[in-house]
Amino acid sequence: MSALPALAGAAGIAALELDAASIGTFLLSRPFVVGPLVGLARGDVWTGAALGAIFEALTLAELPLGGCLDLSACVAAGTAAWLACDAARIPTEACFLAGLAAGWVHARAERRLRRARAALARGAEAALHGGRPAGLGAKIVEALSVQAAATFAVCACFLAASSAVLPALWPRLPAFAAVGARTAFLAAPWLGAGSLVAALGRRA
Amino acid sequence: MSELGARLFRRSFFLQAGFSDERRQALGFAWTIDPALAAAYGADADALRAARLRQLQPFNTQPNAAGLVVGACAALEARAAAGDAGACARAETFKGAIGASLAGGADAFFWGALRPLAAATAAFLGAFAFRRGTVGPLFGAAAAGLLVFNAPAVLARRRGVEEGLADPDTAALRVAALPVQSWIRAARLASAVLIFGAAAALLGHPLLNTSATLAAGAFALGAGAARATGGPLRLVAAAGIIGAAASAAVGWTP
Repeated sequence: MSALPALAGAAGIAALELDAASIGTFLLSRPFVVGPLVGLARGDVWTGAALGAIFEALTLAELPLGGCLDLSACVAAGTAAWLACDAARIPTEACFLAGLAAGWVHARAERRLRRARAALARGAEAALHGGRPAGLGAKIVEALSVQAAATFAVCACFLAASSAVLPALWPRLPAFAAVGARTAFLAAPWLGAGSLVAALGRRA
Repeated sequence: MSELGARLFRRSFFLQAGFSDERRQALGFAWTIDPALAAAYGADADALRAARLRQLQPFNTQPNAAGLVVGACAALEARAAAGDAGACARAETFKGAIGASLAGGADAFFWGALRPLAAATAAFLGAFAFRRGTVGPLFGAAAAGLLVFNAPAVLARRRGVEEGLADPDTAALRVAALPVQSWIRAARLASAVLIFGAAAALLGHPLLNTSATLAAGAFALGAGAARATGGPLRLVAAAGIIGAAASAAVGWTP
């Protein structure tokens, strides 16, 4: 896979991810949108849509903000869909696992960013106390830029590493490991759908 | 909507841009409301600085419901600038109290009911697009899902700014009178029905070449155990381990 499309893909996912908890929220970062869009960009809409549906089912019950931040749904779905639509034809379950890993790493990066962003408000406060302009607009732009850059970095690393490693690694996996990965992938949408229906019933 | 109201409405979409664990939405709120503060205190630099510092205090609410808090605080700050001695304190009390109470109800409505309904609508319509094998309706399904969420969400945000600016004293009471709980129940019921419909249609997807037994077992496990185990992601990991163990032990394949 050449580097340029992967970087463009990472940039697209990073732009959509801003909708998750920074701008909006319009649900443009949800897997049911990201999956088909990535699939369209890669020429395989149905594979992208199917992976989007799987990640949507797995993450729909989570709130987008607050204490619970297990997995970035946008990054997971975008990375998995991009890899699954690759001409190298990486097995879909391998793409699914790579997406899960990317989403998990991004969620950890997001936690760190949330801790670090407190300095922006404190900086605005200190500026006002010192009689200087608070620079609120510049601080908002800074927060958005750092968020997008972090998402881009995570996606680009996972797209590049997975594209390089998985096509060679996957055929060499022991049979039981490949079966385990396929079982997890096939069970995922139904586990997610069951979990969601139970959550809806409980809350209603 | 007034010019100021329109600016507050547009800026409110960036409420969470500076979200932090310590101050939550404070930075975004301060930036959102800044045009109202500048309009109210423009000639008085010290009062403007004090108002900006007030708005940088920790604040958190559901973003689609934040319009009401933004509008009401802007109106109360304007009153304070005009000489109403108690308006500042009312604005701070309003912001703290209504922010927290709005977050509870609006989280349940927007995140807990409307967002699942949007995804379920997209999945249900997308499943039928898949059965027809045509791409156009698939994107129509995603657009329908976005519309289901965004039409009420954007309207709530806009009306919140308008109502808060127009009458900050009674706006919260009018919101409290809305039958939100019945909307939540209806949306969740509709979501569950649509999810069952989409699941039935997607059972034949070639990518999800799943046996009905595995699908039904996973669905039942998700419904029964996801909460106790901390969410479906842990069950996915467990399914992978069980599948690998069954393959190693008896040569099972899914």
